[in-house]
Amino acid sequence: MPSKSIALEGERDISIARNEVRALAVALGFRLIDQTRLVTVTSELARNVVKYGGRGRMIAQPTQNAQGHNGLRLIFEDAGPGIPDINAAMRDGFTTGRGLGKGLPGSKRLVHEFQIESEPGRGTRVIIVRWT
Amino acid sequence: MEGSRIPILKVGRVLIVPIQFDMDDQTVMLLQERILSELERTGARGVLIDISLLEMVDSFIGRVLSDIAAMARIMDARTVVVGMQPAVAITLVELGLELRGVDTVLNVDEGIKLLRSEFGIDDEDDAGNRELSGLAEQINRS
Amino acid sequence: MTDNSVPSSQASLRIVDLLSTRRDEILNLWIAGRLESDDFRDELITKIDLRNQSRQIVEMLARSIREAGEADFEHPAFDDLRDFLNEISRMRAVKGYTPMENATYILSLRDVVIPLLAEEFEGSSESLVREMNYFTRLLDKMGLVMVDNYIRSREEIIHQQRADMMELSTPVIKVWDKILTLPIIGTLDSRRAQMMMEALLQKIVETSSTIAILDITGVRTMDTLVANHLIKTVTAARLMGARCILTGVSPAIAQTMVQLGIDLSQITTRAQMSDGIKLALEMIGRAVVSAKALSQAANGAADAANAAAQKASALAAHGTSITESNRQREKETKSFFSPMPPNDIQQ
Repeated sequence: MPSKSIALEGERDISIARNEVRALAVALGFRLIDQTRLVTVTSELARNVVKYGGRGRMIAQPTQNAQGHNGLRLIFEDAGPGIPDINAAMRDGFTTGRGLGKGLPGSKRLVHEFQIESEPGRGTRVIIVRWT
Repeated sequence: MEGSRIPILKVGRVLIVPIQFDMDDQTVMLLQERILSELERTGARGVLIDISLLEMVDSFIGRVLSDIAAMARIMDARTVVVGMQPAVAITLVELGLELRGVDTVLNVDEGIKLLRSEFGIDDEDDAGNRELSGLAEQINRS
Repeated sequence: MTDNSVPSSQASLRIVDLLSTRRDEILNLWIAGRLESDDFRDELITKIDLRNQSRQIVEMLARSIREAGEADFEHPAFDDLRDFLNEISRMRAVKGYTPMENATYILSLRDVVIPLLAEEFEGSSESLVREMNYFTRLLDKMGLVMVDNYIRSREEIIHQQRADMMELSTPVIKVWDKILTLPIIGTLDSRRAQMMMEALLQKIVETSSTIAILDITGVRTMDTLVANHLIKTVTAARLMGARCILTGVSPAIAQTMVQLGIDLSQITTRAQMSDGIKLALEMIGRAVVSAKALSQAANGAADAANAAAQKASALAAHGTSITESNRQREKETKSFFSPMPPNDIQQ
């Protein structure tokens, strides 16, 4: 399956990203509970992009691991102000803005792989993978 | 406005809010406002928010549900969240959210029972009670 | 696989001729050796099957060596033989042979063939050593294939059995209207705990149960991971509108949980499953009472009903006067609330 890129520029795009991820997760054979995890994590991270990054995009890449299991890699990136202290942001209870601090550590618990890179002033990129 | 497409039904002294589709953030915020203004307008004392058709609850919706419950309480009304699906519940727990302060029940029937027995809502309104039971039956059947 | 394709230098391998021309002799010796050995288990394989298998191995071996020349076992000429060994080894794994028995079966062919080969060569020792080494090397590789595949097959079997066990080990039982129980037995790993949680929550929806009793009497050890799964299950159930009761916590597990700093204060616990069931029934407005107490209560109620009936009939005698006085009272009340007669309003 080919990769897909979705612009994240307004609140409405969060819904579009969720629907796209739901459709891909179904096509890749994820169980209902894993579909829900993926859609929820998409909602969290896409909202971070829209609320804090201003504008950015989500890239969805269907993938496969060495054992032949299907997976879905999602990349969220923005050119926003970035996160000055990633370690602090990854702790439970950290809050910026209006109490969305559960976002990052909670999102990490919903996927198998979680990677975050951020440069103050340049933007943030979060890469996540979940396997079937 | 999309927000006004979610119906808010008043039966007896209870508002029933069946959420039937994926909501964007604006729809969620509008819904919160509409529930509160309906509470004020009707003097209802209970709110049943039925999320059994909702396929996802993220931290934003979770927070709004908690907010509605807290705000309604100040207006002397109790809020009950109805019918959360297992996959949604597991995901919400993993996300680290527990919807503190929100009462949850399996279905509309249990919701009405809870509002009556625990919070004493609708005891004095028999006609409304009958209507409510009939509606609960209808919702459960559909 | 015609003779033309065989390079001339390799045609000289005597082992090929030996395996072909003296096939039956080799087979007889090989099988006789197997039957005599302690490894042979006639409950696992019939003599006919053993003979057929062995014959195929010898024939394929002769054919493959002829094609491969002196090339090692990795040569494509041995592909068919390797596949066949894999198949045998898988069958043996299913039947319950040990890896040792698997390897010995193949390696014992050497003890049969090497003396015959020496016989063939008589004096020319240099070629004998060369062919002997080659044949030994081949058999070693074949033995390894057998063991390797055996282990892989066992893993597959274990994997399958684990999946079966998973299903068996999450029995969610409805004990009463709106009450489910989940007796957890054995060791809980993360995967099993996850499956159990999903099975329980699904059943809660299906049966509209408002209470779930998780019984861990059969759980021997508890660690942070498992405890967290339990807490997660209880929290998720609560979000759906069902309450959980944890029962069967042994003193050892209670100690471990406190030592690990696991906070179970949010979870209702009871010592025994029966206490849990009792509590669950109370929560849905029912009670367990003894039959004797029940019949006493019933008799008491009957007595009370009789007394009430007697009182009622006694009162009925004075019925008229009571009704009369009621009317009088109503009149007074009315005049109190409406001081103006209706006629005045109309005017």
